[in-house]
Amino acid sequence: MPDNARGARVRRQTVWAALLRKEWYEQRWRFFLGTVVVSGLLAGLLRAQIVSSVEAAVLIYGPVGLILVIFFAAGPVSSERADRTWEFLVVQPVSRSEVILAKWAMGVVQLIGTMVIATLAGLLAMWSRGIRMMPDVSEFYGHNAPGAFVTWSTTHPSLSLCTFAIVGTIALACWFTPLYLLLARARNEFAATLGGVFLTIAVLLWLMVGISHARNTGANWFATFVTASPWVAMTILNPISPFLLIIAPNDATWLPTVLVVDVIVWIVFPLWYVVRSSSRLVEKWVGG
Amino acid sequence: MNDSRVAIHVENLRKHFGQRQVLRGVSLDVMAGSICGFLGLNGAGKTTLIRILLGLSRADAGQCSVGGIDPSVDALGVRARIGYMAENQTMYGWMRVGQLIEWVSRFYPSWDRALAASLRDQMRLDADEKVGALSKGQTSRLALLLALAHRPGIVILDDPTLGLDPIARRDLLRDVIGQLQDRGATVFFSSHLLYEIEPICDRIAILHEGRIIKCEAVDELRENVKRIVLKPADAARAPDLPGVLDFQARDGQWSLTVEGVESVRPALTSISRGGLTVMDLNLDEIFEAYVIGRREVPHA
Repeated sequence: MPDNARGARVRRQTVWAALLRKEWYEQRWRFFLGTVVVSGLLAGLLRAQIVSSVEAAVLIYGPVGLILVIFFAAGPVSSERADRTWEFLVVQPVSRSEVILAKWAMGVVQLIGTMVIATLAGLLAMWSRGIRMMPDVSEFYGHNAPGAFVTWSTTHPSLSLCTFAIVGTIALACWFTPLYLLLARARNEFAATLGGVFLTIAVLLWLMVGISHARNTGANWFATFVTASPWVAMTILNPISPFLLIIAPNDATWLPTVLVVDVIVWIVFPLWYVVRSSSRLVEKWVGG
Repeated sequence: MNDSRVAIHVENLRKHFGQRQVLRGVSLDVMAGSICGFLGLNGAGKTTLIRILLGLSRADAGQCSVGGIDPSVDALGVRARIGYMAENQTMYGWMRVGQLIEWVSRFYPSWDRALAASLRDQMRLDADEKVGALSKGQTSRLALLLALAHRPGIVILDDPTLGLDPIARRDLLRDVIGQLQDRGATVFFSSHLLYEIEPICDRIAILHEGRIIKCEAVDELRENVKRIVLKPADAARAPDLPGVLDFQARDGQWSLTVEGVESVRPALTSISRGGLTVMDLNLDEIFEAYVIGRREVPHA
């Protein structure tokens, strides 16, 4: 019996390897295109120094990253459905949740890969310039003093960029997962992309609400979350809320908590729901 | 269901999409080792039934088992043991033929590489050609190869010749017959064209408006359903007869397609002038009579 179970596990590994390999061959052009564009943008901004390194990082791991997320999330299922290979895929002895998970995994790997390469390119550009850059994000604060993270960034630009990369990539993955699952229903890539743009704008607006609230409540806004202010509670439930790092209060000790909550709410829970064998809703949502 | 001689067992299966009842209580048994033709007009619910058998969608009510496995419980187990070929199957165009065969082989524990290679030669497929560049006929032959290379005990073909030109269709059918004849596999062959499955099938099941309206051995069907042509003594008074599938009156002559010729022969003989002409029908005409025949004998 254990031998049987081991055989079954080996079989499942073979199936997974086949699924992932196919996804890589099918989606790699997205990875290459995304990597070239994002790396070029970040390296160019940091090398040319038309904006501060913090602003460049906010731009790349924020809006550009969100466009990349739409680019990676819209295609994998909808394009297969549009050219009818989806029907060929799901009649093989694989479950729909396996297919969905394999595509999700490949998307996340590509997203992380793109961000890692872009960050390396950014660091190289920064070092090649040889100048420590002063971040200038005063418009985020108005009359308030810059937060601890921004102040720290002025003396540690490379570490600051790496922190942005880590926090930003986790936040983007947290948005990638629900977006990818929602767009799995789309009939074709155009519809999926359009839906992705609308949903992403909605999430961004949501984050703006959180930022303005944080600004109005001053340096201790995380304390107001703890005392259950509904706006901040909503903001922490926003998949891209780790971007609030840029307006961090005097210390960023709350950041790990936000990241953990974010990963649980936006990655672990949705995937658990997909894997659960009784999730008929997923079957209905994804369809045949 | 415990009877191992039954390969596919369907019992009172129901399925609706929105307001539309697609399957209204389908019951069917396909014996192990037999070749069962599964007929129905386009949209009759053939594909819906097959999707339920594959565990791709769930029935509203009823039971089914494929090779003793309930697809709603172990869909992967069913799919690993059967060979399936869909209508108009689209495969990954960017893969090469050899690549696709290799890729699909990963999903099946019982995949037979030697068989796949010999099938590829027999079906004249070039391993280096891109799948997207294949003709429709070649694509369907490749799909057939993929459905057979893991030596499945049950093969389900869902209208495999749909959309093929006549030559490609004949080519594919020749391959299907050649491959299935001495393999001893159970075959469930869905089609909307009877003549193409006629030479291979042992039994025919006709699905119409969500029900199996006929499930019989081919010979019995041919024996039972005939066309009777007669000149009625009184054309205005048509008798009410059981088993009439189709009735046409033209130029004072009646043409009836009848199920169970012997049971209506006395009644018809008594009203005709100059005896009956009983004609054999081919399966296409029989199928037509079942699904589009006008059943009522009009009175006056």
